[in-house]
Amino acid sequence: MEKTKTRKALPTWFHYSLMCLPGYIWLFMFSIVPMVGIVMAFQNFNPSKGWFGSPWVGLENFEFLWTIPDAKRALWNTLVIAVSKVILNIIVPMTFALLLNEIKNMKFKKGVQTIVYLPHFISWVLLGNIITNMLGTKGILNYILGLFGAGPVMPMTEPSTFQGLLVGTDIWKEFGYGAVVYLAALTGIDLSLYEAAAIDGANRWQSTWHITLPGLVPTVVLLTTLAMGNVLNAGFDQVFNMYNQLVIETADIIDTYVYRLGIVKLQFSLSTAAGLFKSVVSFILVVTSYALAYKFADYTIF
Amino acid sequence: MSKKIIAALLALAMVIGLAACGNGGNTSSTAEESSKTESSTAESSTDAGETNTDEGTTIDATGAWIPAAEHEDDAIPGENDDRAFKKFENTVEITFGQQVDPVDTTLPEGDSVDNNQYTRYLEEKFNIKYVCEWTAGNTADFQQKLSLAIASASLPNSVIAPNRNYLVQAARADLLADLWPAFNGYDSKQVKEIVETTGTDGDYRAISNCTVDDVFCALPNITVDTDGVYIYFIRQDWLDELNIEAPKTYSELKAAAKAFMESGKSPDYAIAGIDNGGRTYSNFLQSSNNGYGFDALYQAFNATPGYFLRDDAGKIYWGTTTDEMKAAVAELAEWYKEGLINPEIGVTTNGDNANGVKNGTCGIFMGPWWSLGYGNGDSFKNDPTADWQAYPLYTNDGEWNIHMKDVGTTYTMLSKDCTAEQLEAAVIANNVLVRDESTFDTSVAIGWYPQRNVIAAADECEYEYNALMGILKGEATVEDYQIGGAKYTTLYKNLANDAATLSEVISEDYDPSKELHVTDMDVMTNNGQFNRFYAIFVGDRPYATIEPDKKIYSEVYYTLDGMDQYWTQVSDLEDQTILQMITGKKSIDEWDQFCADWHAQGGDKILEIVEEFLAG
Repeated sequence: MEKTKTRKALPTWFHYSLMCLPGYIWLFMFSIVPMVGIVMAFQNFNPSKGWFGSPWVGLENFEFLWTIPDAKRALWNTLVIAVSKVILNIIVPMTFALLLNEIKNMKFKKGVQTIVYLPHFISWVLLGNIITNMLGTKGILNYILGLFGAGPVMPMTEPSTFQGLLVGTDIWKEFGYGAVVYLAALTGIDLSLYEAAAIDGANRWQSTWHITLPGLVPTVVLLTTLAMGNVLNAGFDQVFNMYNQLVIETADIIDTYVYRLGIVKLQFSLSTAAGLFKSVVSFILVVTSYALAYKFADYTIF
Repeated sequence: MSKKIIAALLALAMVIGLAACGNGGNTSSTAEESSKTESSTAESSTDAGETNTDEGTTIDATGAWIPAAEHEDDAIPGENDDRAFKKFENTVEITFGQQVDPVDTTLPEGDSVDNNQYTRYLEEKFNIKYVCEWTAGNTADFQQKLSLAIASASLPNSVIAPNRNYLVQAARADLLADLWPAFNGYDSKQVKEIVETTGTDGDYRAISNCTVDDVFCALPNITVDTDGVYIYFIRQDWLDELNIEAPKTYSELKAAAKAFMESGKSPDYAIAGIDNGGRTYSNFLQSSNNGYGFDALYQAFNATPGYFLRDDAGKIYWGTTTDEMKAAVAELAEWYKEGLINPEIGVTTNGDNANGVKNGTCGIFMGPWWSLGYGNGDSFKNDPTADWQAYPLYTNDGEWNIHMKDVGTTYTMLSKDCTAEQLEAAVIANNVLVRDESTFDTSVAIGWYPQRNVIAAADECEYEYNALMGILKGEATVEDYQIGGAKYTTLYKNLANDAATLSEVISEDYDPSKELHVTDMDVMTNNGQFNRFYAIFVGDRPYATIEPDKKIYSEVYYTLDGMDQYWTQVSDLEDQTILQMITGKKSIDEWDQFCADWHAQGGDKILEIVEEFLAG
């Protein structure tokens, strides 16, 4: 009798909140606490004087950053690479999921799904080196081209195509993983709709166009909105492990620029300013995209 | 009922377990303590006779430089004395952060970065115990950890700054100890002698480099001058086979490279270059040891990129943005286009360029003296007839103008948290390395010596070259260079050992009137010494035997106040543009635009700052 009473005393959300707690602690420790460091962007930071003792310089760091061509170049590259990734990371996994969904042989279907899912788990540190070697002069690409008598090509040193390479390899790595969400969404579409369409004489194309795609729209909107927060995250891991001096003009993104500025060249304040600038732009994009998602798709995340 | 019994048993087990733990902990710690006290009493009793004197004596060396001549002679290698090689009464612990070689195979199983033959030597002989705080596996990671340690004001007791910028950052952040009393008072006579080779009358470059805002705050690094002298290396056996004279100018070198490729000796490319992250020339900040760069070729064009130079009118200019440099880059671009240079320079990440040299598919590369022997030891293991030779590359006027480096590039920084005793210990550990390095069994790489810092006389390699050649020619004997011998000197610390091992490597049939070739040497018997002799006899031969026409110094060798932010920008621009022009990604026609950009984006500001600084 007593036992049931104490149970009732706890609200139903209590144990759910408890499950979230580690996440909140993590968020607090690694995302909220370090925010204090933002002050470095407005200071001429000196480690011995710390965050509260270093001299203030106002917006000087931002002004200086704006005069550096490399910083603007990094911003532009980030936008191009990240936007391409966001768009293709929606289209490719969705197309793949649609195609896979049409396959009747379950063993084949599962096999393909597992294989394309695997690259997601390889770290960019490894993959960066593997790709560099595969595309090098002694790599498999040039070996195959050599068999047909074609001259050696070096995609890793070609600035004009390097962004494509970055986007392409990222899609290759992630589309299998991305497809899982769409496959789940596909199973959620009411089968009676397809039956009704078949009775009305719709063919495969028509039922895909009029039933499957509209059924996927909520998922697409959700994922796009979530992806907007990453529009300035072009993928530090990947770029850092793949770029080199020859392609830096098209490969350098804000994150690698901040890394070189702050960690390699010890320009703590300048690099914080660049990082903060990125965060502010990202914040604006996220808020706008959430508002748009609500307005056009009536979709609220919060 | 049974549940209760089990519960009781479990509780009992827990209590016993806890008690046992508590006991165990207590006993072991008391045991430790008692052993500690025992050992320290044992030491003090054995050392009692000698330590009386240094007990409580702190050497007052806060004033001016104490010249080497005023110091008593150092104890002979392996021995203690009561100052520069004293054994501390109680163990002095020094924590450190260090870069380690992740592919090193010389460390015996079970040993570690702070427990190996070198750390044990320091602990047993001097009671100095190095305790590792962190390590990093490559330069980039090391720099990253060091930056973070500086930024968060959490330096270990001792850490080596890879260039002066880190030293200035740490010193300005008030993280470093004033090392002057400890260094001036406890450095060995030998170290003093070497420091004194870097200047005159109390004004020594090694000392001023370590001084930030009037505080001396690091152990100086003094390396041999030849580390910054760039030459090219070529497979002499291939040249002989193809009947080509050793090239003197760049156009002859180009012809040789072509011949290597056409004959199939170098199927892929003839000339190796830099890996990803490398630079094709050393600049004023890293003025030496640029392996696999093209420094020798730039010099052949009278170009000195990356240095602050003074023109005839006395005005400071930047060595990269010159017409000479443009001509050199245009030539390199031509070589690249013709496929003579590794097509993947600046891209490969796994030491691919060095591999070509080691496995015998590439016959030409450039670098400082140690690139042969020390640098490409595997070449000879793979092919004991690979006759690599070193030559200077002359200008078309037949001049050999060489690039002179800074005194040293690294700085051993000691944290301000160090006690006076720790600072002394760090100075003494450094004395020990300088004095005893040649007596160590270096089959375990010397890089494992904690906080290894090179201190060598500037002309050590040339001096050794001539001394050892003297022995081979019969002008001197091995005994002359041993302790007590007529020509023994502490300034050249490795000479005694090198003289003694000469016969293990150089064949008796070698005719010293001719140049030394790999076929005159035994590669495997004493491979460590083989590498050293190859570097000295072949790699350093040009600098030891040929008088250069001009020696070119940079006006400054470190970034000055206010220069950093501009340097960040223009150095990136420069590194990228030069590499892009060599590899044809950018046309050489854009050279003028590059120069204009360099000056506009901060270069002019930098030159102004340097000019002002030099004007005083």
